[in-house]
Amino acid sequence: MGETQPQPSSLTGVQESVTAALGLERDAELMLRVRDGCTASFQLLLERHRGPVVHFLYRMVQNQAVAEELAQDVFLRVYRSRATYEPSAKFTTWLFRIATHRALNFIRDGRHEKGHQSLDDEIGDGMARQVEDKSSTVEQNMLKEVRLQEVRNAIEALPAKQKAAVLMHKYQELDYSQIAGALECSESAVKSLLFRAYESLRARLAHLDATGTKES
Amino acid sequence: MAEPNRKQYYNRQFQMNHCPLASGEENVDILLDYCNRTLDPALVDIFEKHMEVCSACRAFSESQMAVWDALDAFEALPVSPDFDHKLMARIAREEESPWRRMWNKMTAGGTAIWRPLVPVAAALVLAVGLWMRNSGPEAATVADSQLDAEQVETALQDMEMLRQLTINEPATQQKM
Ligand SMILES: [Zn+2]
Repeated sequence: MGETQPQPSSLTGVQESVTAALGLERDAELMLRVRDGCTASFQLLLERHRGPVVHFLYRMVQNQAVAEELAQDVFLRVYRSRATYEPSAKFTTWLFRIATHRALNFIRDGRHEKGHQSLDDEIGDGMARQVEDKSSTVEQNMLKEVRLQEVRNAIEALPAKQKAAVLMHKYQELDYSQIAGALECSESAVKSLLFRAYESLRARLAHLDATGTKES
Repeated sequence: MAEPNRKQYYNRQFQMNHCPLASGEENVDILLDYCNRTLDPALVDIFEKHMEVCSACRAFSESQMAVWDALDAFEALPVSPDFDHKLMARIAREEESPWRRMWNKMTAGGTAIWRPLVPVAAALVLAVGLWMRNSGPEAATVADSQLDAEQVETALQDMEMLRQLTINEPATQQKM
């Protein structure tokens, strides 16, 4: 199956106004339809969230194959929970809570380090795919690669919870309350995690200027 | 994310009587949002005036903005084209299992009256699974029941996560 094409919503105008009147977010409405047996709604949820979840997990574990495996578990767990789903919490927060759990468990169990040696090829491949730009010179591509490696190393060096907070903040654009929900802590704790994480990142990365070269 | 939800956060009242950097981590969001270019424009003006006289905030902002831009280098890779296909195949396999069918029946309909009894139902499914594992002679069903017991357990964990989220969310929002 190729990148799945967005499918037209099965909601009618009337149903959409009812949804709006009830103040239900779109994801919650879709999830309730999944609960009632609508597989197409699950497919729509998947289309909306597949990318963000895989991307978050990829940056957490820095391995695309593992990230996709973990993301499969996340969506499977969402599907399994459909019968008891209640739209009382923001769907995205719940989804990222499950994703964060999976990533933190994976890192905690040490599968991350154990697999590191064999993951090197995959990481190298991912790097090459990211920096390869045919319009750039060899030197520019090398600079990009150095920059990317520094960024990856700096993120990798963060404690797991700080890493999760930064990734949700920087790349997934979740707000502080959503990050707090996903990490099961207060917003104050999230701010503290972010403060410490960015402090470490500034120490390691602030010397890189916008072109990726090191400032003297 | 498909729908970044930061905007509503920025309506918070903010007094620049103190340096946000010196007034504790509670106000670090002002600095971070400024550097991420997502701070309310009204607050941007106030903060920029403050930075004219505060070298600490100025230095923080410069290095934080450099980091913010540097992090853009870490792009995500495209998701494999067969991701959905694999997932739907896993779901289809799982739905065929007799344990899953039993679980689905117990939780079907989504009627609120059933929901408090779901943990009891899950315990029942688990107990029957364990009993079958211990008494059944077929090696193949042992693996199946272990798998299904795990599935029921994870479904329960996810429900618990959602329940905790429901309890915690109003409290978190009040803090904003
Ligand atoms: Zn200041």
